Amino acid sequence: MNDVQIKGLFRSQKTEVADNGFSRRIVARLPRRGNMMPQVIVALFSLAGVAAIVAITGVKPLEELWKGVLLSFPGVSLTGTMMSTYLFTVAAVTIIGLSIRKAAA
Amino acid sequence: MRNEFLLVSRAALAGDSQAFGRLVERYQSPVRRMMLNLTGGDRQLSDDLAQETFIRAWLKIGSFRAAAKFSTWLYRIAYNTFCDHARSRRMSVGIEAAESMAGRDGDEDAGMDLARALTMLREEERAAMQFFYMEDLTVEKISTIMNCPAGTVKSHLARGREKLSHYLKDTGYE
Repeated sequence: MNDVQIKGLFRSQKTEVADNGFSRRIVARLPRRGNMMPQVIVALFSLAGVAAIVAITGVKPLEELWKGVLLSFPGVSLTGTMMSTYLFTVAAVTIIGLSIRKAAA
Repeated sequence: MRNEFLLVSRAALAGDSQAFGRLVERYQSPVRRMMLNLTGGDRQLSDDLAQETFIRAWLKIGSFRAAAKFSTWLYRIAYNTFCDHARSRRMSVGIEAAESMAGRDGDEDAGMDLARALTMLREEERAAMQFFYMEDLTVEKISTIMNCPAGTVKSHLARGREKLSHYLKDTGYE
């Protein structure tokens, strides 16, 4: 038997294996990953991204944006600095929280 | 390819199991086919080993480096999973297993002959033949998967070809 015949024999046996729920069963059995380093890295880079935006544009444009959002709610009268501090904290905590939740899921 | 990179990134960085599920859907067929041939056609065992492969891949996906193609990285995990199993059980793939392979679609006689013939090869020869002839991988990629020099892969292929030819010749193939 030459190389071409051997190749032909293998080729004739190359069939697609039907999934039949195999992938779904695998996803259902995936264990929790103990290493949270990737999530921590994502959270840190997200915070760095927010910091970079503030460093480049300053807080004024973001402040104006959030002021516009908040003023659309009745009875809100926060100062600009308070608003910025509050919103940046909320953003940072949300990003970290979502990353940790995803890792724990 | 870009889509695959995004799926791997989502699975690795965000722990997205649904993204990983899409990768499983994409690769379940070649991985299960590979295991089926390496185990001599034992469907239950090959599915168990394929499952073990994907779970190991999920746990190690953080260590995947984009320099290696995802499929090569996954085949390497699959091959190591098979080797670990073979070491722990010192498999003796019998005729019953080969017969179960004949139930697959396609030319049943050829399937039976190939399954029987593959059981005559050593595990490394069987894996090299499977990767080269069935999955169309290059010798360089096979050497990465099997973690051995390209020359060793060529030796496995040469011996595998010789044994396969002899066996098939004896069973009436020309």
